[in-house]
Amino acid sequence: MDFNTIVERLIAKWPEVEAPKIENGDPFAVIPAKNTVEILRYLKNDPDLSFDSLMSIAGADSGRELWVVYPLHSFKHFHRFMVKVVLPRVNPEVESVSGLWQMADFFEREAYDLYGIHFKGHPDLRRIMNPPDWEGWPGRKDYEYPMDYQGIPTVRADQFFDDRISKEVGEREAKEKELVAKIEAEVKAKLATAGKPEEKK
Amino acid sequence: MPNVVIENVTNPRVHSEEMVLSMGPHHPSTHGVLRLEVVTDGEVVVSARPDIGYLHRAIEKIGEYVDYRQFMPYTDRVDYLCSMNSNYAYALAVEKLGGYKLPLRAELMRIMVAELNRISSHMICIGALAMDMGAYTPFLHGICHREKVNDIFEEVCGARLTYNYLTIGGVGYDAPPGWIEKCDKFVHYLYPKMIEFNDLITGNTIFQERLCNVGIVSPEKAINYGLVGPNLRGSGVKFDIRKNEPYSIYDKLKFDVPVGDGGDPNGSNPRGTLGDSYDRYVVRVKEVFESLKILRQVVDQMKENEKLPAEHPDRQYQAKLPARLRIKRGEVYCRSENPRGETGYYVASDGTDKAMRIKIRTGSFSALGCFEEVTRGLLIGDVIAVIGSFDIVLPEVDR
Repeated sequence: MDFNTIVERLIAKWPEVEAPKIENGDPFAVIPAKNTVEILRYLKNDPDLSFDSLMSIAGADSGRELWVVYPLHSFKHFHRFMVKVVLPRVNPEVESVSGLWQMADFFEREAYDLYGIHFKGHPDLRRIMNPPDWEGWPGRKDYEYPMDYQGIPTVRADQFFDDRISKEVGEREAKEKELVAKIEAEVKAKLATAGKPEEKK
Repeated sequence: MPNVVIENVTNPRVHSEEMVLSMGPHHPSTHGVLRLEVVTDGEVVVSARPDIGYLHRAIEKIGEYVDYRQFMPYTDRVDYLCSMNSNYAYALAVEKLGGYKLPLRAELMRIMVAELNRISSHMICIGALAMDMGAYTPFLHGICHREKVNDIFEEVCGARLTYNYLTIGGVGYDAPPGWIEKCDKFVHYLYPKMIEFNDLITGNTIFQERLCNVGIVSPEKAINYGLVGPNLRGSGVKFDIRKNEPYSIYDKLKFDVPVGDGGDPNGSNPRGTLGDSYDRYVVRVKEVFESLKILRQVVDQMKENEKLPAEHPDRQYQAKLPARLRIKRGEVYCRSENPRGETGYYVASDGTDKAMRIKIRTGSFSALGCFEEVTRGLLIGDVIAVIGSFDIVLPEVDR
């Protein structure tokens, strides 16, 4: 079944579903956050669609809002579909689909860890990549890298933009320039003396 | 603590207690920095929870700060055992998003290095699995064959582990003179060696006893848990992205998709059950033979291609693309078949020369997701067998 037929079916049931016109890439449908599990359960269980495989769950930050993207695939009919949920930056909440596909467990934990998207009804929503006491949501565009973690500096003092280092480097470069100029002058002088006898000939 | 008196095993006053065993993060059999929080009741595993993130390098976040071409070396580090395939998956996603077309020679070169890398990755997997089961020699055989592949790659791109060979729109360098003959020689070298390898370990009774009926994943469970690649096919689901969603020129090549056939008296695993560890192992061994079959066809096509004049469009190894790639707004989920299964790149572009978001979906990550379910009720020694048979590579899990 192709993309447009699936979207028409969804719109007949849930009028809020949108399919934005795209110029490039894969087509996708934007579904409302409050009906996420309902719509995905329909996509999974309907015999004509039977999207029994969830390929991935990707959290994303577009700069204005957060996305959760669900690419689906059917092992029965070999067709694909992509669903997107758009969430606000403050208190992003969406229902968990780990009851439908078990693989969503780890992927939702990852989206929670990196983007702070709260999946309601998830059995064990913890951080997965970062340590449990890490602060902030590192995947977001406005995330600022912390300068220390539990009192341990994460950036070396001499690594970036340190005045002392830049001063030393400046001095060294100046010395090198002087040396180069000196050598060039010597070479020129040598050439000048070596060139004279040739002119006489 | 109850007063335990060990006088008689059948004594009702003797209690069994659950114990937490922390396995890792550098346990020699965990294939990397994986930590398992194992709750045991005697020798039996009550639950084994993977604790990951020790190798998290925020590769996906780096992808938002560098442009499309500069991200290629980072994809090497996503899965170091099959860098070529990781490169390939990323290049495919960007090419699909940008709508770039490739010359034939570039496609052939890509398939050649990808299949060679698949062989070398499977060599490590099956060798390491045998080593985990107590047989040391097969690992050395695997390493020995892998060295030959590394020599071939060194000749074409100069590196032996992280190749950074594929570029967006083709491959980095053309094949040096004599390289194709070297690949041909390798195919003829490996075929008898693999048969020898099979005699050594695949039919070994001790090896089979350790793996049969251990860590069973039924087909429904495998699909629901998002297992991919050889792990999925080991459960009897005949699905290969090269066959079912062909990319590049895979639809013109002839090869089979091996699946697990545990319990079938005429199959390769008559003692076991469908979807056990031995099935997953056998699928990998069979895949090596399929890759050799593909390589033989591609080598023939390359020899044909060599005869074309140097200016012919099919003879070029790179497509002509602009120096700075600006891709129109859009998003794509593109997947390709890696040794560890489907590697999917979700790439979203916002019209600039940098990606807005790159999400890497890897096979090992979802394999660890079902780990707790599969290992429940097994013995501790069998947990190691399950890790080895899932072929988990930790940099790919943590990214």
